[in-house]
Amino acid sequence: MSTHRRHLDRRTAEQMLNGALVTSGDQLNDLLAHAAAPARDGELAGEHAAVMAFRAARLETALVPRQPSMLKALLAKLITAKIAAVAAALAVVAGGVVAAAATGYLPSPLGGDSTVAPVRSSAPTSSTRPSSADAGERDNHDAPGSSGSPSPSPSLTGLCDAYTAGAGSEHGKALDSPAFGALITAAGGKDKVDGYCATLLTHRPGQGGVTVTTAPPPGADEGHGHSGNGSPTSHPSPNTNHPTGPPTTHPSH
Amino acid sequence: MSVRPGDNGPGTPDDPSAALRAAQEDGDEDAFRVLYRAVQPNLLRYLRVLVGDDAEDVASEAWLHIARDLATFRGDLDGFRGWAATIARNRALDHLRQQRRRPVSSEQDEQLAEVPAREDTAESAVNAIGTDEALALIATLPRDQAEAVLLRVVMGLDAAGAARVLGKRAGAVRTAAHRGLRKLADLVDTDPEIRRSTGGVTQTRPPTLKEVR
Repeated sequence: MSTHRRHLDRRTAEQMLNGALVTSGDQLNDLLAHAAAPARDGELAGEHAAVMAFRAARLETALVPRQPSMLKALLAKLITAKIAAVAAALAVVAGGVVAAAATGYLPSPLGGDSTVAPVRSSAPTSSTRPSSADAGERDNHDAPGSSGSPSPSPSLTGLCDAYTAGAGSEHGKALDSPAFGALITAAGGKDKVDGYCATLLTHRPGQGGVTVTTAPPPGADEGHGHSGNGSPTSHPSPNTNHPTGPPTTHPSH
Repeated sequence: MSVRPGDNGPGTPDDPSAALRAAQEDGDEDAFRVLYRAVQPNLLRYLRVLVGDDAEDVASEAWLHIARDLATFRGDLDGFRGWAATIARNRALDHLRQQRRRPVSSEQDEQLAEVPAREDTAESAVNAIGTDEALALIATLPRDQAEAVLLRVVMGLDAAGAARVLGKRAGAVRTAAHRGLRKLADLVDTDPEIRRSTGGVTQTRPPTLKEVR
């Protein structure tokens, strides 16, 4: 079939394509081998976000049919939260302590037992805690701009604001901006963003459901030092909806 | 960050096939990590050729989708690679369509990813041919050939698997891949920079591979 000395006939080509790279030193082989080389730095930068999405998906499955849209929002938020991930991890722990202290779950408020930290800050105790600003973490009634971040998250609300504010100009174009990626994901598609935002903005004050802690409640400082050592990897406990994982995150893009 | 097979939780399989099962059946996050590390680099390279610098964003979207629907996936690791490639490809094509709809700022033409100018002879002679340059060369192929080569060589699919991803017949994909390989062989044969940097055989020969079939 071929008189060429490389003998790149069908059989040889097929072998190369199958990864049975023939002789080394062959340039085409080398090229293919390089294309399929092992992972390099930077290629796994999205690992944390992917794992968080996996966790969120499992939670969603576990909680069906409860508020799937909220979890979608959470999931989208996870992508955008890369930068704040470390802070968020801290906040979850700290917030957990505050919540636990407030609801009596924590035997020793100042972290005498550091292993107890990151638990029990969700549904069962969500009824009360009228106190002050630092309650943001579990306050479902979102005043935009409060430091706590109830779902579906101020960032999505903000994105919707931004998106809606651009009405009249080209929406389609706006949605191509990476900044709206999370919004599109949360909405389930570009064509659904309009409806999603309409719903979100209409319901802004009253969303209930899964709560997400992303920022340290201002008053939570006391908890930081000790509980920070608790193992965040003990998530998820059955009652815990915190999306935050091991603080080994990749803050870079 | 590099792949460190040893840093998974206790009991988490390092083998991607076992990890796939553990992630699906037990929701094992560490197993999902193993799976991600096994597939993401190749997926990203495939996407790089399709969408250039947006590959990471598209890959992130694809992984969201994968994470969400993994429970519903049925198949083995090869099937998973193909499934992941299909999801990523669909995202990439959506992405390209949107770019095309954007008249003003669209700088990307119908070509695939931009290829670093190989006129930088000094630099390319210094740098050994690496993954980036290999991908850049593959990106110069017509898209059907580039995709066929990438799905086979980089994603590790067989002809049938690649054909499913592309929605074509296996024979057509095989042909496209072979053509792509021959073009690549031409490229590396005729490009002195690449030849030198690969440290391969250096005898000159005319690019006759087009005659080969």
